[in-house]
Amino acid sequence: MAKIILKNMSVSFPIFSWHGRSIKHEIVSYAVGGMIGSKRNRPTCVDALSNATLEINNGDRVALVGHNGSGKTTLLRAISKIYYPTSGEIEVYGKVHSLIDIMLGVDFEATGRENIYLRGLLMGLSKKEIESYEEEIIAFSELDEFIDLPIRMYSSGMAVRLAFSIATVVESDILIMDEWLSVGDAEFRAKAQAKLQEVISRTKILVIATHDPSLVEQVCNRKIHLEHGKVISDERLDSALVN
Amino acid sequence: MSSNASLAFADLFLALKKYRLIHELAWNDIKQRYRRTVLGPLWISLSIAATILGLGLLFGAIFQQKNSSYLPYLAVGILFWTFISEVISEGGDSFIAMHNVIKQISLPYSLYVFRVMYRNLIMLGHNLVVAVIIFYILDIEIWNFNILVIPQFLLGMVNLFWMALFLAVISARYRDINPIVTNGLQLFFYLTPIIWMVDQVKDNHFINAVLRYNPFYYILTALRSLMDGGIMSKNQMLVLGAMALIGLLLSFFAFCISYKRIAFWL
Repeated sequence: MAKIILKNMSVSFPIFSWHGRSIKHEIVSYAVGGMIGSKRNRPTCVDALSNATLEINNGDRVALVGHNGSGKTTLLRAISKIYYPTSGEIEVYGKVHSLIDIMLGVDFEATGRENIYLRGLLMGLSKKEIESYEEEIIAFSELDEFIDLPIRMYSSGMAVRLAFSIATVVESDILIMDEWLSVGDAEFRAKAQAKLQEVISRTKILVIATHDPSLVEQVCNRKIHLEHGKVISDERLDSALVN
Repeated sequence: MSSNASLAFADLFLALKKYRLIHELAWNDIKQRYRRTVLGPLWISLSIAATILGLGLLFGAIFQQKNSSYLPYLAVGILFWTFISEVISEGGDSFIAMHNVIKQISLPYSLYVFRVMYRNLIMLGHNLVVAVIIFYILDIEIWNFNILVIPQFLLGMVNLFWMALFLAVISARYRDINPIVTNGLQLFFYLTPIIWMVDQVKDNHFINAVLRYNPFYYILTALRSLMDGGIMSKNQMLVLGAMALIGLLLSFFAFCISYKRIAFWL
């Protein structure tokens, strides 16, 4: 049972000036500025998200649309429990898996096999789970004997194929994406497309930030439009990908 | 505030649960540094050995100490001091250094502190083994194991942990703290009995006062006892314990009130 509930959630970022980051400056201005009520430089705040109230349920394939800076990444990070709300509440039920940076944590000096283990641990898998997925990942990536060579010896396409294979092997309740993942040469791409669609069909909730209207049409059944941190529309769509 | 406290506690427990990830990350850090180098991890050991030899012969002569007692004393002091100062400076930097990962994957913050401690513990263990081997060849005694030192050793480690966690949190907010800490540690290298021995200054009231208020004196004494077998006095243990208690409260308090904002500071 996956669910995401936002109640008047706001996320504000402090923007620090160079002095705002200095403890020496902070101490000096306490000493010199001195008195209660004297004006000290408070950091400027950017309201990345303001008063968002949403409920996302099982079966929702949500497209997050909006200009750069509208709050899409902030919302995704809030769902992934990276950013906590500055006010309001967010409740997330279900295991969240992000396909945003599939190369995160990859150690280029380590072998492909070692990286499977490392990425698996970073994604929250147990040793047993990683071992059970290992063959499947290697087979899907088509790397064969390269798997035991360090990733710095791979072509960039091979490295991404491995990262993709690892990232798409995980079961999740809530899947987070930032634009579509397009990897590999023409042959692999077809396989990757199919795999990605399979992963999406198996997850309970999908939230994907995108600028691509045809993607929204093909994959999503709900469109949430953000502008300057506010939810300005939230509509149901007919999607081509029937779940 | 109570929700923050439960978040902070949950953070610590979750980090400890992810011991496999800590182990993998720490070993990877070490392997990364030494893959494709000629000497590998021996490189650091050799450079430390050269430092110890150089300082040892010089100050051994200046202080008119016998090499057979001064060299092992200095070696142990330097190895454990390296551990202490690396944990504190790298620990303080741990959130900043991992800011990319922190903003992409939700992992417990304290995990990064544990990883720094564990990584440096591996390096320390490795260097101690090398030291024991070298001194065995020189037929000089360096390891005097006493099982009773384990509690004080652990208490020393607890103190290092809270310092690293506290610094990690406040350094994320105030970026000039880490350089200040690094400078401070250089100063403490001289204020702590590493090159010199406590016995040499027992009649000097001023230095003894400095020693009494030097937190690293207690931590170093506790940690190095693993090698020299020295049981700490009741007063020293009291200070170490009080430091741990107050430090844990302080660092935990800072961790709690900052918990939800750390990601925004990075």
